[in-house]
Amino acid sequence: MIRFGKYVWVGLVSLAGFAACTNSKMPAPEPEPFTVTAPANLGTSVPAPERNPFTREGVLLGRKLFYDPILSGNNKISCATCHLPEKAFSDGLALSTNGASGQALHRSAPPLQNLAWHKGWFWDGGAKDIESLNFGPIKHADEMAQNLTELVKELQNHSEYPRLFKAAFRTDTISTALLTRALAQFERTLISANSRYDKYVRNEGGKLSSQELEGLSLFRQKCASCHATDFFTDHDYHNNGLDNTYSEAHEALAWGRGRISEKPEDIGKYKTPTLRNIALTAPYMHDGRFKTLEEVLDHYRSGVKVSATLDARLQQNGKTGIEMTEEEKTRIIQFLQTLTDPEFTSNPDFSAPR
Amino acid sequence: MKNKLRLSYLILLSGLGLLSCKKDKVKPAEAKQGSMEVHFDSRRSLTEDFVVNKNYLNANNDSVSFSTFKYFISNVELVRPDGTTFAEPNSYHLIAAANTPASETFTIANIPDGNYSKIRFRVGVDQARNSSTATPVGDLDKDHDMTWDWNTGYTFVFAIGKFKSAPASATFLDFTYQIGKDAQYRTVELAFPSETPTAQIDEMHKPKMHLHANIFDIFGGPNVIDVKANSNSNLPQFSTVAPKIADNYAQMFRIDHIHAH
Ligand code: HEC
Ligand code: HEC
Ligand SMILES: [Cu+2]
Repeated sequence: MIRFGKYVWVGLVSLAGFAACTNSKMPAPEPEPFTVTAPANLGTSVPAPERNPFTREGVLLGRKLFYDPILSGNNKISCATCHLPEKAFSDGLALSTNGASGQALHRSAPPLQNLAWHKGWFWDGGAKDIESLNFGPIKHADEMAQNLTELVKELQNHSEYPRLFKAAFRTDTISTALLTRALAQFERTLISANSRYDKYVRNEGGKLSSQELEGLSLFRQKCASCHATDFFTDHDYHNNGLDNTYSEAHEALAWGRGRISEKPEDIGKYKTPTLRNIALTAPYMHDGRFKTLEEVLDHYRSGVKVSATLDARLQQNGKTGIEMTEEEKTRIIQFLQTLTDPEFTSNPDFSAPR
Repeated sequence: MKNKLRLSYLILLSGLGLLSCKKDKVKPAEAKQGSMEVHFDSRRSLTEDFVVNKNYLNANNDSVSFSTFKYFISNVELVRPDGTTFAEPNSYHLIAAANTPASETFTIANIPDGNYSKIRFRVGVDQARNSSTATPVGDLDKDHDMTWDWNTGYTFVFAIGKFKSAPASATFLDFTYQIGKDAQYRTVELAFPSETPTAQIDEMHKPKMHLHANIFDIFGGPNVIDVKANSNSNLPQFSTVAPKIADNYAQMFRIDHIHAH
């Protein structure tokens, strides 16, 4: 009996020994190094954190995860439920009720484009990196309502994911860290820079009409100090005069950047959104309050509300707001429409894998 | 004989199996090592244990109970009498105050042989780990509710409970303290108690340290906190209160005794 005990034990050890060897003798092939580049007017190179470099396998895995409802608690909601490629990865809604609970969210889903260059993520920059951000929608009860431990188990028992994670990260063990790294790699590849405007500024044969050019020059005078550079954002936080009272409801959500920095001088400030693909991403502002670009420009012209943190550029020469004639307004809108990038919204690398 | 032969054959096989793996396996260092169990016993006071959901009077004379009290203890170091230290690697421990000790206890492993006279640890998570929740190690890697979904970083101390302000108001109200951010990271250093000023730790000696965490001290160590005026830590105005609470929790720990096993 005793001998039999030993026998089995020795047998087990040898098996374990061999199992370990089979693993180490057949290492997964190195994931393909993968350079993601941007067009010249965005500065060519694409920022990515050192600990999460791009690999082809990582980006492909990230795309699959982005479109897979397995990420949600009820297996019905994917990232793409609220971030649709044809709307530059926004959702066309002011405050979505498409999350797990059906409760309206408190903010509008922004487009996902040129995210790699942001300095903070979400409307108020509360997320310090994309990798950390991704856990937000996955766990949030009103978005995907998923338990991370459950999710890792589901992925580990899946018919495809273990192989795909191994290809991307050379490990058999799926973890939340790897999940979010793959998603972030994909999100950083979502680069929009092939609108008609881009092809015009890069001399790639894009043509702007004289009216659009007039709009461009008006835009540069009146808007480009915040919606700056060819990113159309300064990646900074400003109060553009939407409100003059800031409720403390929902843990002072309306404080915007002020809730994150805990500084009174940041109350009511939000990240300057890019204006790329703006014709596709209505409704506008952090709560989707404006349905059209007309309404947005009417706001800047005559709707700006004064409060302590209102940006100085919106109260110059004793006047509140940005002066413009009806015609100038039309020209600016005509220009904004040249920022639509159909190559971005229909890029097969960004759409659901099949 | 037959049996013996088969056995040695198997031993050989298993030996081969292990041999061929040798090059990929990192051999543990030869240095002698011990371990120590650390128990963060949640207390009402020196003489009274803490019970979840039970009402107690706090330093501001408010009646207060906790349904949740959790915190991160991190970057634990053991200090030798000559001032040199052993720092536990990937040292992040989630402590949850409970009526049972399991969630209040962790074991520091692989402590080099020696004599130790102080423990140093942090309440909260260091800035490097706190600026991204995406590379979790230790207890940071759990589906705990110790992060915000809208603000990157870990909750250092998470307390939920009810309070009733003295004297008259009849109803209990809720409070939520979810305290984090780099400014609230605190270092605690405790010398071993006078009965056991040093402890030997090695393969034969695996002491158990019994700490008291007087969790009501968050309302009144150096700073008395009026919970009625400050019941929700997620309001921005709380940013002036949070450092005061952090100074309180920095002082809520004592070593009660050490079992020198
Ligand atoms: C139920 C709708 C919903 C789902 C599902 C959802 N999001 Fe979002 N997403 C939003 C909303 C709303 C915001 C804006 C939140 C804020 O700023 O406070 C947002 C913001 C973001 C941002 C920040 C963009 C920026 O400009 O700062 C990123 C990145 C993002 N989501 C990625 C994802 C990923 C990845 C997933 C899937 C894991 C996902 N989202 C799932 C609604 C959703
Ligand atoms: C002082 C800086 C500043 C100036 C100047 C400015 N904006 Fe904005 N803009 C912002 C900020 C900040 C937001 C986001 C506000 C929010 O949602 O709370 C914004 C939002 C927008 C949006 C909505 C974007 C979206 O995705 O919802 C549009 C469109 C827009 N601005 C166009 C313009 C135009 C056109 C001009 C010039 C006439 C202009 N802005 C001038 C800072 C500025
Ligand atoms: Cu004890």
